This record gives sequence, structure tokens and C-alpha cells, in this order.
Amino acid sequence: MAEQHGPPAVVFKGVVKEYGNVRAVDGIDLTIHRGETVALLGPNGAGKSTTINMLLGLFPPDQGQIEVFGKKPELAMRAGHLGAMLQEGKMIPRVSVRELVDFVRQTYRKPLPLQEILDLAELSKIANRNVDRLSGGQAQRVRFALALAGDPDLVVLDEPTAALDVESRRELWAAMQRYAERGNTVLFSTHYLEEADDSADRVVVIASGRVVADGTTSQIKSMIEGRTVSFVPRGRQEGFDLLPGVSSVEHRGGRVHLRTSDSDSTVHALSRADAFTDLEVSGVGLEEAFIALTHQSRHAAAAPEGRTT
Amino acid sequence: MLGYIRLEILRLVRNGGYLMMSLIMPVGLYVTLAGGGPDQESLVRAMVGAAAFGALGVVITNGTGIAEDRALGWLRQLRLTPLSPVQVVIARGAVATCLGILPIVVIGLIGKFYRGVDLSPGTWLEIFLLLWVGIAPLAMLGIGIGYLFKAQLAQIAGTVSYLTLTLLGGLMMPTDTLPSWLQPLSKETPVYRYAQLSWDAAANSAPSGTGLGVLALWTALLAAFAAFAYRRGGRRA
Repeated sequence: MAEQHGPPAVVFKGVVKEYGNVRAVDGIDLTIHRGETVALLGPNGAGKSTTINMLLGLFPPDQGQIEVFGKKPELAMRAGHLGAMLQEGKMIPRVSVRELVDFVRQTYRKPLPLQEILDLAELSKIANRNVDRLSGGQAQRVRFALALAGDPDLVVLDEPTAALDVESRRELWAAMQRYAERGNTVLFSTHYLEEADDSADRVVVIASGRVVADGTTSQIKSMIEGRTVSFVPRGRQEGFDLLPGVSSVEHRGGRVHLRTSDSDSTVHALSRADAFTDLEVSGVGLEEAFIALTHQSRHAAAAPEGRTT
Repeated sequence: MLGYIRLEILRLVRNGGYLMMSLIMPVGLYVTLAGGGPDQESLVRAMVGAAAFGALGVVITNGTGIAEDRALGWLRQLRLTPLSPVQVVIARGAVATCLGILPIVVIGLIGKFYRGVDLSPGTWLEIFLLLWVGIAPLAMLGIGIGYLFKAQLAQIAGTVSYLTLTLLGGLMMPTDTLPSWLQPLSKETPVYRYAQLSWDAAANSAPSGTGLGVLALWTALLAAFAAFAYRRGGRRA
């Protein structure tokens, strides 16, 4: 594996980007090592695309530094370290799939063989079609092929499966995994937890322009997929964080809200202590989980020893 | 970068309508002017004017195509390759200049065989080279327009500058047929000075020093304009 050699694939240090008064990216610190497959998970408007566009050198951050393989993003792009697939963009007329892929691969110094790219992205059968005459899924696979055509060290995919049907989605992830298995570093963004779970070995959760959680998929899942147990406390007001499974405690509107990875054990313990009335157990949606993580990270920032990131 | 030039030329060559349009008007212009059976001098005038008109049309249209490419996201896609944005601009200039050959050669051939423009082989070559290389500064005008404006506006700006420069530059009719107050202005346009190089060459007279000076100034100005427009618009790619 290549991960020991040279600078990390990606380093973000205190990166900030503002649009008018809106802080789209609000101080991101992040290091991605070579060979990792990292999912950038977050709700719409979390700052994922802005983060990715800066990483690709499409525009500079207002504050902070970004390094890609020890170089400024634009130079890393120029040196052929990067390949990328963005969300927007239509296809140009009067060019075939084969011509477009071949053109992009030849802009790199050590590209993959043309046929290998076409196979990897399952484009061989439509290689002679014009790129502006493709279905949404086919066009997306062409964009994917363009991202990896130059055999770049880091492939960046911004919501690669947005607007794809289930079948195309599965094909794309299979292709991406085949590519990651070659030892390449992959960074992709998504707002589906299951995509992050299936395809990444590390998940970075972004909300409101900040990294609110960073860990293995199982760690993130336990943080996000738990349940909330809420009740009106009777007698004691403290010590709920010591109950089994509980990861956070919040007092809100006269009720106590516990986030727990194991609601059964939590409820058993609560009932043994006879500490509540009006108990409710509810699942946590992803949006709600993001909000909770955002709150947690704010608290963590206030009390540095409890950082989650 | 050669790969990029090849791809863009391929895209344009496959656009049959574009190629036909870039030839129909200049050919029509030459045939109209030459049809009356004028003297050699007027014939050469008409031929150079029509070829310059054709080349100008090609480079302006190529430039405004950049605005359409941006609307499609193609410029952004190019920024996701190791090609630098400056290489893209230079390549677009090269594409324009290459395609400018087409109307020059076609009009030259028609000039030779229809009504018979009579020039020595050396002069033919000289005129061909001057018409071809001299179009470069005007290619920069097209590129500047393409980067500065959005697709629709770029097309309008391109058409307006194309027609204005054609008329003012005396490509359709000699500049002394213009209203007298416009005539001095016409001498300051890059297109007049561009065509003048070839008119002078055909008459076997030395290139005008003033002409070269004006052309050099325009080359610098239009290069600066293209650079400015690129910095304004290329960033939004």
C-alpha cells in the first residue's frame, strides 16, 4: 500500500468559505490519508459541494489552507493527481463517448488504457454513441469514466448517484469499489447513510459547514442511527448519561431527551430507577441526527476535552 | 493541448451548418462583387475582402462558442483535467486560426478560377499567409467576447462586432464609399489594417508603416481584452 509514502492525500486547515453573509464552510480541518475511501456525509446545504470545489481548486478558500498531495489544489490538478466528477454539467454535442474519454485520459501523463476505462464504467457497448444522446444513468457513467480516466491518485465524486435509479446506482458503486481496490484514494459525498456504509471505510459528517463527526462507518452509524428516549424526570435530574447505551443528554421543555444506541437497556434501567413519567421512545431520522451531531460538536468546541471530531 | 485542439476542431468540422454558413456569405460576397466583371485591381480587392470577411466570421463564431461551452459546463469539465485554463484559451485561439484557413483557401480558389484573379505564385502565398496569420488578433476579440458574456449576449455582441468591423474595415465596399466622417475612423480599425496588408501585397507595394503600427496596437489591446475577459469569466467556469 502507498499510504506511508509522502504527504497525505488531502489536508484542510481551518478552511472557511463565505457567500455574502453565509458561511458555507465554517472552519473545516480534515486529513485524508492515501488509500482511504472516505464518504462526506451531510444534508443538502451542509457545505459538501463547496468543500469539494475548493479541494479541486475551482475556487480558493477565504481563509485557511488546502493541500492535495502536498501541493496547492490547482497544482495538484495540473500534475494529474486529481480526477473528479461534479453534480452539474451537461454533455457537449458532436463527440462520442470514446472520443471524450480518450481526450480526457490523454491529458494525463499515465492514464489507464482506454478499453479498461470503458469496461470499468460499463461503457463499451455505447462507446460510439454521442455523449449528448445518453440517458441520465449513462451520462453519469461517462462522467465517472472521465474522473478516473487519468488513473489519478485521488478521485473525488460529488454526489455521484444523485438522480440515478436503483440499478444505475448499484452499477456505479460497484465500479467505484473496483477502482478503490486498486489502492486509489476515493472521496465521495452523499446524503445517504447506506451509501456511505456500503462503500466507505471512513465517514466524515458535515453539517452547517463544519465537520461534526468523523469515524468508521460503524461508529458513525451508532451515533446517527440510535433512538431518542424522552420523559419527564421524577426526583433525580442528573446521572442519566451513566445509563446503558446513552450517548447524550439534553434537558428541553421540562423533558429529558436521551440519545441511546440501545433503547431497550436504557428503558429497563430507567424503569428500575423509577425515575420518569410520560416516556416516549422514537427513532432518529438522518436530518435529526445531523442536528444532534451539530449540537454536540458545538458543545465539544466549547469544552475541548470532549471533542467528537 | 494538441488533443484538445483536435477535439475542438472535430466538434466544429462535424457542425456542417456552421461550416456552410462560414462559407456561404463570403462566397456570395465575392461572386456578387466579381460578377460585374471589374478590372483586376477591383477583383483582388473583392477577393481579399471576401476572404477576410470569411476568416473574421469563423474566429468570431469560434469565440462566442466559448460562452455556449460555459453554459453547458464544458469549461468546468476542462478545469477538472490537467489542462490549465490558459492552455485552453491558447488552444481556442489556435482552433480559430486553423479554421480561418477554410474560407481563405475556398475564396482564393474561387478567385483564381472565377473571373481569374491573376497573381504570381509568390504573391498568392504571401496573401494567403498574411490573411491567415493576421486573423490572430481578431481571434482574441472573439475569445474575449466568449469569456465575458453569457451565451445569448455573446452571440449578439459577436454579430454586432462582426458586421461593424466588416463595414468599417471596407471588406464589402471600399472605405472611400463610406460617409466622409466615418472614413478616418475606418482607417483605425484592426480589420481594415488586416486586409490592407494583403491589398498592399497584391499591389506589390511595401506594407504601410502606419498600418503595421495600428495593427500592433490592436493586437496588444485585444490580447489584453481577452486576458481581462478570461479572468472575469473563466473563473466562473
